[in-house]
Amino acid sequence: MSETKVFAARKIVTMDPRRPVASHVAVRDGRILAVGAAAEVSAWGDFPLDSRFADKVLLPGFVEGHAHVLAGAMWRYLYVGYHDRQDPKGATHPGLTDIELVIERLRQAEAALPDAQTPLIAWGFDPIFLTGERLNRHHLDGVSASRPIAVVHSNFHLLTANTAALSLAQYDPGTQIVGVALEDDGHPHGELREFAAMFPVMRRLGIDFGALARSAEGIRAYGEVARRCGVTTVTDLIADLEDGDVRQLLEITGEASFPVRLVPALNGHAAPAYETAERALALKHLSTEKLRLGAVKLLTDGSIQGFTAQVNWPGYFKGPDHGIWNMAPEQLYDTVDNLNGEDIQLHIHVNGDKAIDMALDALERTLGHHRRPDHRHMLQHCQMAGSAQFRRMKALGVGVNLFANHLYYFGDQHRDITLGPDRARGIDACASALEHGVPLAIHSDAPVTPMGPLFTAWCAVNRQTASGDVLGEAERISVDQALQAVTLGAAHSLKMDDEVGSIEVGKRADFAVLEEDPTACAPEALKDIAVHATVLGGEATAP
Amino acid sequence: MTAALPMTVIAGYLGAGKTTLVNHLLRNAEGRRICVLVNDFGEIAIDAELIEAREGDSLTLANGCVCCSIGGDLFRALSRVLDRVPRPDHLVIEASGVAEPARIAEVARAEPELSPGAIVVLCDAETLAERLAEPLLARTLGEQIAAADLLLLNKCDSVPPEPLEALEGLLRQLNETAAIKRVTFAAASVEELLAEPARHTPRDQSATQSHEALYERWSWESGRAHPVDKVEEALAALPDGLLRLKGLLVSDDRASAWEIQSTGSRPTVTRRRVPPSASPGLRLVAIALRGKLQRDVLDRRLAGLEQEELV
Repeated sequence: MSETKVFAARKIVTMDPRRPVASHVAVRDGRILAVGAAAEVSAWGDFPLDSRFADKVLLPGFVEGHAHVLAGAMWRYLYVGYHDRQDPKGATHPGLTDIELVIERLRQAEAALPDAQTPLIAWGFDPIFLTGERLNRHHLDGVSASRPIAVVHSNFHLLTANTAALSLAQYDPGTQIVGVALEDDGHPHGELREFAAMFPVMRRLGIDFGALARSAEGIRAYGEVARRCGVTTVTDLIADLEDGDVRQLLEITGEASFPVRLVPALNGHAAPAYETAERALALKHLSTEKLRLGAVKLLTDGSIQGFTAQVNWPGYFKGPDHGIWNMAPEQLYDTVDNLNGEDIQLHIHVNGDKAIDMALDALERTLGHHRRPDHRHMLQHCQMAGSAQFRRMKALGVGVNLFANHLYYFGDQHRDITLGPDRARGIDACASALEHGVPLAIHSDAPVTPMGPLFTAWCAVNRQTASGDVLGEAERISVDQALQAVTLGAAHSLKMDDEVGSIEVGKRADFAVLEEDPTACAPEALKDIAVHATVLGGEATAP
Repeated sequence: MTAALPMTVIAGYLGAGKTTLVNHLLRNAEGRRICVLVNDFGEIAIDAELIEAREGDSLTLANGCVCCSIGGDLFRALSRVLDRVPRPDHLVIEASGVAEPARIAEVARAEPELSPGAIVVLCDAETLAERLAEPLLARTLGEQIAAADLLLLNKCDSVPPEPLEALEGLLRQLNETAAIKRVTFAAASVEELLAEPARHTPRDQSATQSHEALYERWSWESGRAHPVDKVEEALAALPDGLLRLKGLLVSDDRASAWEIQSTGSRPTVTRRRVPPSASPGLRLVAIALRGKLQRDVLDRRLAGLEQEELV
């Protein structure tokens, strides 16, 4: 039995309605022994008092229910995104709001490289936010004419290369390949779109996202990214989880210094359903306190901003419909039925309303004969869900993890381009979900947008877009509801609400230590509250 | 520098015969060292004695062929093939049932170490017309067919000649240039298939037409459960031009049900289990190419059936 100790705080916001606020919390064996006022806690005995957080505010450690290891692993490369972003070491990289700033950042990084051959690779670039000329090879040739350079866009579906990199792939004037953008005179522009056009450059520059996501360095960096924004339980919401990967995850998460509980979901597209089911069940038994296995991720459609989501009538507002399916409808029905039949929890990626219909159809079919009263199947992103779909979710017992960060990062684009003003007001409808009694979580999908549960909560509360517009006031939720969604709500979505998500006796002693009280500040200031530290299993984590 | 590796893409919806074709290729490689990237090994039917080694996500055969799983990461799978020593003679990629084969095939045009072979799209003659009329699938399948260099109309033994011609007409409307071949058990000529060239121009993915506009659909619903022999009689000689007719008849007491199916002129009627949610009566759906649907003939037949009952 480890020593018992008591943390004192300016305020403890527990998310437990029986005891919403406290000042002291006692911790034993990594769990919460008592919560309350000093006197109530000391009733258990006279334990050493740890007052290092005496002027801070404690919340349950945040739970990020939908993000990816790449959010840590990508920091091996240079960040050139539009928005400020904090790296795993805690340094803030200011957003680059025009092309000149992007070029300048690349120049500095280029000058710092030790030799003349190492390619320069950058990530997080998003032309959607930049006005003026589109980034092209001439910009990058100005950084270096000889060193290969590739700038990976934030959606991972595009990259821009300099002439040196294009030549390695033999993309010459006159090249006619779909996805290789050309200038008016027939020379490659530098921008390469989608897998086929990107493959030769990525292969020759050694850019391999799959390998990055399974690197030890990437996984450790991911833990740090999570820790720095107050997260103590983080998902990796699609992973191949081969034997070697799992061995490595067990080792890394087993290190005392690894600061989060990691919840990877198995890729349900890599094998036939019965094999996926077998694998998921076997993995479940390998779970530890800090590595939780057993759930499966399935993908239906693409993304709204990429025009690859499956959208019902009247379709996209402006721009072409490139709706894709990642799985044939029948195959989805069959896979969902197989996995639900084995009582395996499913996280189903759906963005467009047509994809939501299809996922609900699949769940309705299987739940008709394989009844699982507490299946906890989750629709992930679920951005275009309407009232009728929320009613179906309620009837089927399905939960929803809404992509609240989209409201800020892509809300203007949804209003002006992809969906139009009417439907854009209804995206990521947090209030509707709650009103219909559908269990709610909200997420960042990092690295697509930066991880930061207080920011995610701010998005759901304010629904403010990057341009300052408010998108659908009726779907705003309260600060309490939003904080619930990034703690207990997300914990529920991972079947971990009996362990984490609130500060209650018996639960794991995982805390987010904040400089200010989010329940007392102005709702607009929620995102500005600084995270001071986290506590995992009763121990303060350190970089 | 080693010669570029020719790459053929096999596509087609679920059940169209992709795996059967892969098995056929591996069995009839005749000295070519073919490397096939598949979505899963589950259905690869190779006699145990032909398998030389099975290692993680790859299967090496005694005849020199290799079969590797894509495992959800085409980048990794393709990189590994290109890194293989020695290089295979031919690369075949089996696309998933809803993949856009043109996107995959494009990598063989982009990557200097690959050379583009054909996009081969399999179509199930029994179900093609029906699939193409499903709103969820119409566009995906239409794009697959439009991208093909070679269209294999599979399972031709189970469909009469007349509708096969109609199906070929349908494929031709979706793809003006591809070679169309009728096959059974996906047994195409391996030599021809691997030698089939790719188109010379890049495929423009943005130019997709609405395939739903190519079809007309007719349906009939009646709460009355006519005697099965009367229904059979009414549908005995169907009007020309129908690609598919399908229906369900449930008796008044919900004790019996019959399924009505037709890909030709004469429907087959078979007894089946009564679906739990089905109410008594007759429901029929027919699909034809636009302009080829004789609605009035069908309406008259069925109206006649109702009248007869009243007398």
